[in-house]
Amino acid sequence: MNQILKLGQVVKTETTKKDARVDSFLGGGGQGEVYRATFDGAPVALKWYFPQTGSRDQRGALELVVKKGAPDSRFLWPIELATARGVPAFGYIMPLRPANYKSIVDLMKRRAEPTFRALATAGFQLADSFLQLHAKGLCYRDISFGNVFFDPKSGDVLIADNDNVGVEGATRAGVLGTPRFMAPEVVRGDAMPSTQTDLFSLAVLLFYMLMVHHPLEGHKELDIKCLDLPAMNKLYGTEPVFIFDPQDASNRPEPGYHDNAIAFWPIYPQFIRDLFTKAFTDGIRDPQHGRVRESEWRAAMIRLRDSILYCGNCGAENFYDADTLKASGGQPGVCWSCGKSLALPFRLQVNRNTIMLNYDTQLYPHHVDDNRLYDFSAPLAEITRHPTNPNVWGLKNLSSGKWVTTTAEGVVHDVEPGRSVSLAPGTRINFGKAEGEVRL
Amino acid sequence: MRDSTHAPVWQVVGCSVKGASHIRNGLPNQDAMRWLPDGRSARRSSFAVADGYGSARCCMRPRRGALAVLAATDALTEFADGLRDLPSLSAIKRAAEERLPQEIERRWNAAVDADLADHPLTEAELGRLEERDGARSRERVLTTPRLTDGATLLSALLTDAFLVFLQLGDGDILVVDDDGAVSRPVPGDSRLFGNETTSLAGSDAWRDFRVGFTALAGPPPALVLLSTDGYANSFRDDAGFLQVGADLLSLIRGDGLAVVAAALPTWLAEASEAGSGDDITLVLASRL
Repeated sequence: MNQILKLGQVVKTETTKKDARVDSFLGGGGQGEVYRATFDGAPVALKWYFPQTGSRDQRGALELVVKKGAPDSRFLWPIELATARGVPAFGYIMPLRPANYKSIVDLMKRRAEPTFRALATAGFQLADSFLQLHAKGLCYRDISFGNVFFDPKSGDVLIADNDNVGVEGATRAGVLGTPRFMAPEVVRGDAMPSTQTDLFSLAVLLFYMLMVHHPLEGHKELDIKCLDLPAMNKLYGTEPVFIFDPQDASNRPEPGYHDNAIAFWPIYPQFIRDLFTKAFTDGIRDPQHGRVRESEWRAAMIRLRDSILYCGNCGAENFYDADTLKASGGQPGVCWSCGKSLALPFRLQVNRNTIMLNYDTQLYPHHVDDNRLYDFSAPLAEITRHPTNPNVWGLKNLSSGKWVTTTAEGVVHDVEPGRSVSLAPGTRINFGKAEGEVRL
Repeated sequence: MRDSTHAPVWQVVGCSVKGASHIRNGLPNQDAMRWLPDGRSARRSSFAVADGYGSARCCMRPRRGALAVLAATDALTEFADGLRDLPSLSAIKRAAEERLPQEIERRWNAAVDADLADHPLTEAELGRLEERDGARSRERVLTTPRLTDGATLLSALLTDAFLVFLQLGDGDILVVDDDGAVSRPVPGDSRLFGNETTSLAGSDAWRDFRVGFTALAGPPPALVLLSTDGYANSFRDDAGFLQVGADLLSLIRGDGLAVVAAALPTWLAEASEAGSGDDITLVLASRL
């Protein structure tokens, strides 16, 4: 196929005036083509615009994006613009996406089967990164599953296509994408993309990741043909109805067509369902005040991670749901996968956090200190098993400080770094800034 | 969009031949092909080939391939008709990836359901199925009659601004540049191995579609070929098969498209006889 750049071709970056050599063609899109290139001895991605899309406006937007710098390392952010003699338009270099990162499309198509933990981690990282982006006065404008990638094993996220990022409040035209991820007011043409509309798109993306389905595609969607724009505008713009809207059952998911939504929705804890319900009811009715903030999603995804427990029969991940537990008089329910009764593991109540103490649980700074940022690089504690008695589990102190524990009987112990405290109901652990209690 | 005076004009021709082994065994040609508009050159063209395959579950209904190409070409044409309202090539690409596979599957399912309503499974068919694959296969087909037959499907939409390719299952889509360079515009699928293939059968087939999108920034391709797997399987190796693209372009330039189209039945029959023995269908779009 005819490509804009030839293999081996050299392009020159505009700021550092260095060469980047084209190694291979990676793919084409609507705006341009992406190549793998070598820059400064390291592999990078090189995007080159088509003549018709490499406009002065696009160049200006890109220069601003480069100047602003990446909000965090999860953004595959433009590093430098590039030009080449005799080649129309321009391009830019950016970090190369490692092969282990999969598209959300792969998740949708079941080519990637991440764990709930990985999904919750990915959801947390996305919300966190968009918070950083918005804090810089920038909006993404085009959030969709085409430009988010994640590692199905770890849940680590990378965000691509950052050349369409814009300054909040700027009127640069260019409504992008299909209506499916746009806020209804953008679909209707009532508003330009902004941080506020990003919040709606983020909620759609998170719903998609967790439910493998679109939150507005229920019964009403079945009548839409391939590209019936008026009907799509109605579904996503003028008459959007959440498929699980508690007040409006007109757009419920249909068995046989929307099975993912039907299957996944009841698996998640009530607080997640409540947040999505808010995002797609209040968030549609009142774009200014009704939307779920990035920080709320971030906290919810962390809570979701902490809620995971494993079925003792089949090993499937399930969720601890305090609301359901209360409603059922303390009965933990059955595993969604095998249908056998669940047995709750020990759990740690610390500040407002409830953390399931599974065999692989680790505690991080934010768990024991509300003022600490989310940082998963160094755990403060981890679950361990007694070396000779496999029925005894403990929490090992991985921090540099001493803990003080008090058993249910009132016996006080110091737990030095590297030592463990046995898990028993009623044991209180003072971590320094906060005290937690082990429960069953 | 391009300047209309330089927009490419496409002429589509094709041929489907019954496989040598199918002739020997008295089986019908299970392949199908279709293109729109039919019989004249145009600035926009949609076309498809399908192989209505016979799997272990099948009751051998030869119309399945025809239903598949009908679903694909109609969906692609409707997609192209609706593009006036989409703002950019990025949006078109995304819409193609997100909507077309589901729409084609939806049309296919509706057509298969209608066909099954008109021609319900007979006791003889179910008996043959049970005899060959056991009682569980019979039960499965009774629960989900759509499982009776499937089809692999390859389709393309060529316009003056972009090309869209969709592939489900085996078969080949080749693009030939003016200089004879041949490439595959759709990514490979590691699940296609030996006789195993994804197909239009059962539920959620849309997940298995592979979609290629090419914005036409430089010269458009000179030739686009779609062929069912019987063609490539008639060659000793992939390099030999890819050479067909360059050879056909050379013949079209030398002798004209009409001459090549007239010769296709003989060439494809010879290829099946000497090669795969399978049905072979080839559709090619030549830029005029």
